[in-house]
Amino acid sequence: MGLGFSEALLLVSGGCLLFSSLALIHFASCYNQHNRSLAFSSTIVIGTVSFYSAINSTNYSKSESLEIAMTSAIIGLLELLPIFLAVTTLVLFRISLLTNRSVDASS
Amino acid sequence: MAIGNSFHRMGPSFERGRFGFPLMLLGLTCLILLPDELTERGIELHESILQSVSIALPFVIGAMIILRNSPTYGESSVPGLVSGWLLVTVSWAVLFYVRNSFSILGITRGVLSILGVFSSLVAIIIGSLLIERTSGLSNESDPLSNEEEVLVRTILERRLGGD
Repeated sequence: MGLGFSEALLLVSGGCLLFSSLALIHFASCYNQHNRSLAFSSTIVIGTVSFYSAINSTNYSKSESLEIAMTSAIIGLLELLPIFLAVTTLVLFRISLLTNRSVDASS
Repeated sequence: MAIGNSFHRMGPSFERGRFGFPLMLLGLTCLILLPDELTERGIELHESILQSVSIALPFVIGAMIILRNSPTYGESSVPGLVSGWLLVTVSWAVLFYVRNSFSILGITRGVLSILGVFSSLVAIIIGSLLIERTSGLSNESDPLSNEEEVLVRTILERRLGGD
């Protein structure tokens, strides 16, 4: 079974939605009196564009499309966990068993 | 969890920084223990997150123990290294036990999701840079008062050991 264009679009837009919502939460949580950044607007624009592309790639309602896009993206990211673990294990192997050089303040 | 992480990253200069870690713990607890009235997709996601946590938790703890006991970053200790590698092995065993198959389709889905995440990151950085550039410079801050000057000088003298 292959991956259709609409599913690929859904996954990419889900990833965009996921990151833009996290960025929006971060900007809102870190807002303070010295912050004059209008970076909110860029996250809102990207979130809106990816939301509409998620709606177009499914035949569901808005809320269902949002849910499907974000859950698909999170599950997709979790699918990469074995690759991440493999790379980290190789790095740990190199650090602990193959390298004998210490990293101190002078190096 | 995201709000807690953002609060925590603000550091001790802001009062809300101290609520970061408790908020993260509260979010994690709600995610694991209180998944009420989930949809079909929600149940699938919840199970996937629990699976990943059961794999990643021993791996992260093992990696931290290995780094602390490796000759590169700390005092080399064989028992520490062995216990760290044991936890990493447990993590791999759980991974093979829970996920008995790795599909190219699953990895393609992950790559597409991460493509979305990175394109969003790049777009937000470009958007923020453009907005910051067009908003212009803010007014210069007022010079330090005499009391502030004395305070800064005292702190510097104390830190640098000057006269």
